[in-house]
Amino acid sequence: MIDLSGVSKTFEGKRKVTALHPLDLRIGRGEMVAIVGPSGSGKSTLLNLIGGLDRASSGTIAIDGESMGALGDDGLTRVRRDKIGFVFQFFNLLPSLSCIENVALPLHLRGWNRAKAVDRARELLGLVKLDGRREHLPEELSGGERQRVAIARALSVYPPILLADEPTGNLDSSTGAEILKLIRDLHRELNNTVLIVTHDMTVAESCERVIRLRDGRVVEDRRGAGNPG
Amino acid sequence: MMLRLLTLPYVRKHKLRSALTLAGIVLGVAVFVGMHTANRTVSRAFQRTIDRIAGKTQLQVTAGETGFPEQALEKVQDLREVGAASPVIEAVLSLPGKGNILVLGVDMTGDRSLREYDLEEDDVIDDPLVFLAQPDSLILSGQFARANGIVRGQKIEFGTMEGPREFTVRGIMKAGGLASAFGGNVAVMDVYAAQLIFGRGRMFDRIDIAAAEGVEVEACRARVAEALGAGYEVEAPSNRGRHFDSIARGLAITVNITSLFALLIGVFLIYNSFSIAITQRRTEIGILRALGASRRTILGMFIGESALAGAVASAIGVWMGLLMAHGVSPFLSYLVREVYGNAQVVEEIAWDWKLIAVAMAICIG
Repeated sequence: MIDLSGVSKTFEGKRKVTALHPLDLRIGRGEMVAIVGPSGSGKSTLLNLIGGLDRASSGTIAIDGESMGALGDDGLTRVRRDKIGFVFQFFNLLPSLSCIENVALPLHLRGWNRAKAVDRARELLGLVKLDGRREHLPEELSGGERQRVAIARALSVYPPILLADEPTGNLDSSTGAEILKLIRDLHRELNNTVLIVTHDMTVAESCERVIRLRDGRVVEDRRGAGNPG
Repeated sequence: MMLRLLTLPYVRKHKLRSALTLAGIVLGVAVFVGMHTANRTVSRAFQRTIDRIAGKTQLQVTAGETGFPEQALEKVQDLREVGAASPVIEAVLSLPGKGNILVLGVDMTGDRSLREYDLEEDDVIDDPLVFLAQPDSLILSGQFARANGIVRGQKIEFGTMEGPREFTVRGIMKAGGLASAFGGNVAVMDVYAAQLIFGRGRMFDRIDIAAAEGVEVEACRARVAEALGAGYEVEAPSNRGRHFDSIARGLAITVNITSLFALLIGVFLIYNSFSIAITQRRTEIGILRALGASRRTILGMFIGESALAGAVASAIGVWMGLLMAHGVSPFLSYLVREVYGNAQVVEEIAWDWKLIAVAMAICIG
């Protein structure tokens, strides 16, 4: 489903920095994969390339057989809108919108009408157990609750791929475990492909597959137990 | 959709910043529209006054501030091309505490072929000799008389350049035409009495002329100029408006440039506030892009926001500018004193839709 072939990324500046050396990777439909490695190993860069937030310097990335490199800006926008949901470490909710408005936003961008989008957002907030917080602004929520809203937003269009960049990195351990459980439960329920970038080995060990990066190279790719921890 | 979804909540959350931005634009447009409209209003009002004072006059003879000898009138009247020629003296009277009034000294026996001044009680001009026999005779506009509680037959002391003088009100003009010039602050008296009262000797300030029937105004003008020779100006009354415009031009240019700066500041404020907003909302833009918003959608949202802010603020600015013009015009109208010695009364605001459209287009664009 996600195919990377000879993908590399170099940042040009005063000093040329190679964040990813050419790598090949294949991630199948419905897999839950952890990408681990120390800071600067290229984890987030890899996630951004797969998510179409950035373009590879060389190689090809294909999602469902569609090459991202061949797509223009509108094409990449369409892929992000229809196929990918993002969860970020710092939640990245829009501060001026309520929870339900944040969750409904990707649906509006897809052209859904207001009533239908709000119905779906309400359903998703129920799924992440935030029924009572619909009209609250992000600043009125705890870190865990914000991340739940972000997950609900990422799943609002039921994307086949969920990309999570350190989703528990800004949460205490018990809230982090709760969020991880939520992601796992939703993964099982929706059978989507989940890629989690993390430092946390507990999070990594709960995934079915672990890819370890170091200095922009894949140094380990193993099947884990998928231990819920 | 994006405006309702994202902009309105943003504005709600940043009320003060949004209000200050709008206030800046409102102020810029208001000053621009207000000052331009005030200039235009005063100029229009002055032109209207000239038309009312001129009546059917097609040409006016003048010779600078000091006037010219009576013989010039005879030369003009003798010309075949001239249908009617009437001498005029202009002076300003002041009624302590009540303001100034422009007195037009005219030839009561011949001037009605050029100007109409119907009286409220028609018993003076029907017998001009009675009026002429008494050099203190004055015909007041009804508006001025009513405003100051003056009735026909009343004696009033006015201030003149030659000191206080007593006049007798022997007629009250109906509203309209000449009586409406300067918002009604106008009076008429006999030109020869005016010479006496105002110490003009045997001089006139002006001769008002109507061309003879079938004679082109330009041909008449050329003939009169030729007959009078050097030192005289023969021109249409509207040229006097140009004279006023030239006096007012310096101030108008200053005011217009200042107001243009105000508008440019408004435009800069729009640009600056949206530049800041875009910088501050970079994270928001990134999130929207990650959620599947295209560049076009986001650009459209920001352009829509600035256009909406520009439209709303400039509409309020135009309204405030017209109010400002109402307030400022009377002050600018005091410029008319340079020409007539009496301030112009602004009766209505002369707005210009093109100017308003330009101000709004600049701010919205």
